[in-house]
Amino acid sequence: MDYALQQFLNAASFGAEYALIALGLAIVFSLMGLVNFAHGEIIAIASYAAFFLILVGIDNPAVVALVAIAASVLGAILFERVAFRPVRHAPVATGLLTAFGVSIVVQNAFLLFVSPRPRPLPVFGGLNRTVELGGLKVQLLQLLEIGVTLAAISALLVFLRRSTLGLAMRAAARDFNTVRLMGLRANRVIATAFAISGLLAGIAAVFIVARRGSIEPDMGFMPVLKAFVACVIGGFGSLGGAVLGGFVLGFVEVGILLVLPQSMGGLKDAVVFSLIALLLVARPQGILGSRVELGDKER
Amino acid sequence: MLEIRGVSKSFGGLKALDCVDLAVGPAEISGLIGPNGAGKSSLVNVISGLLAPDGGDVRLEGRVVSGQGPERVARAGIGRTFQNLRLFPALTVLQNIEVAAQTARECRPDRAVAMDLQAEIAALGLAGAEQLDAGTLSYGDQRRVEILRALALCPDFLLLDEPAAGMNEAESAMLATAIRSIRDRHGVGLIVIDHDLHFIMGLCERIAVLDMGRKIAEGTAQEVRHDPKVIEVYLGAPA
Repeated sequence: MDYALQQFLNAASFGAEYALIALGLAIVFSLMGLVNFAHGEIIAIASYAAFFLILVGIDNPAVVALVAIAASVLGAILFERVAFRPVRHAPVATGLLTAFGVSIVVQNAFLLFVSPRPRPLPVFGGLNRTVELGGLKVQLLQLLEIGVTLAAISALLVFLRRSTLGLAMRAAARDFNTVRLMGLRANRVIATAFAISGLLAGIAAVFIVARRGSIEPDMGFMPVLKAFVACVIGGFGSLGGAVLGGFVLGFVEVGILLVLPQSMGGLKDAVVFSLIALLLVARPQGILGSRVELGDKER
Repeated sequence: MLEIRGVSKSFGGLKALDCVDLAVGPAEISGLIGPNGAGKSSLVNVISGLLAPDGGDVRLEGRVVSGQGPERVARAGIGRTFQNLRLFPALTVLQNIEVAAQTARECRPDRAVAMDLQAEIAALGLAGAEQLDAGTLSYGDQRRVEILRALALCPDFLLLDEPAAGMNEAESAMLATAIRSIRDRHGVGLIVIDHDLHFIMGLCERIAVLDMGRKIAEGTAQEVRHDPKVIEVYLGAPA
């Protein structure tokens, strides 16, 4: 029982991490059709902000976490303002290349000005301790990760359903031009989307750093690749799909590690991606994705 | 006063609009007719800011509003509906309207306070449908919600692109009454596009006729009806 619960929490916490990052990708994509591969660098910015804070002698984990999250929000808004806004109306490929460009610039900045090699960052190490919960031993980090992710998703849901800006964002995901015709400023809606994606990435970054205990310039790459896969599984651009895809990926990964014999553990990713390929053959639009409806003269 | 001054727009080699002039005064209902491909929707797209004109400009109370993006036009006080419905189908009727009402509260608070949206909803016969998802409504009801959503901007001018499309005669007669009532109560100037000449002739005080991107006639319903150029465009040249 203990073992099953442990594996469940493992899967759920990985899933939560993927879901947080995937949600950030999806919210930007749903609004402006941009696959933001520089999203990983937003995670790196949060982590390096934490690193610099330690350097100047501030080491209260709560303070460091809040500053790291604030840094990723600012970073995301800055990316949008400096890099993505000028190419907003350009073809999709331009946005994608811009994202890669931003990613390369930021990675190399950390590489040049900090270090190309991993640097230890144990500030959130305290989260790795085990706590007793109703007689069961569980990792604090996993509990927090699952709890915070669910809270963040709920808060986002309330924002999208209850606030006028949230309504506008839901409407804009469907039809941006019509929302502009209702007088909503495109810049504000998009900047808000980037801020939200930065916030979610910042939260994820705290958990990622807590788990690895170190930082390095390309640390955001793998998480974003996984999140991208999560988005594809769930249906690209669907926010519910991003969350669902993240958790599905987490559970499939952990499930396969359990099923595969120890000696074949290295095949985990190969098996995972084969399963995803099969899923996409059956449902090319992802689990929750719907086919794009065209047929509008004005598009 | 909404003035369209010498507006031209080309798509590749096709001249969709060729130096079109049009003026609509406050509380005036102006009709825009013409055969398919005459440039009617292009003109509405230019006025509402979705398209930037290649030449000429659109002025609202003397200020140029063209070429600055649709949100500026909407905030300046021009609302529109669409020939192809463009409601937000996953939002409720009320939420659709709320997206526009929010802009009105921001840009023209006095009017937004004075606007009784519940009464407007009832006036268009949609009372009771507020909490339904807009995508589930009938075609005609969706058209009415589009008008309400545009009206929630508290605009000075409304552009209605084929508001009676898909409605039967009784429904379009009711719609004409509702449009006149909106004009009377809010002093809104309107440009109404429609294929249904009967509907347009009965509703509009002035009518402009577009053909091949040019304005070929303008005047009262009587004048336009007897204009030989209009007859030629609609019935073909006499053999």
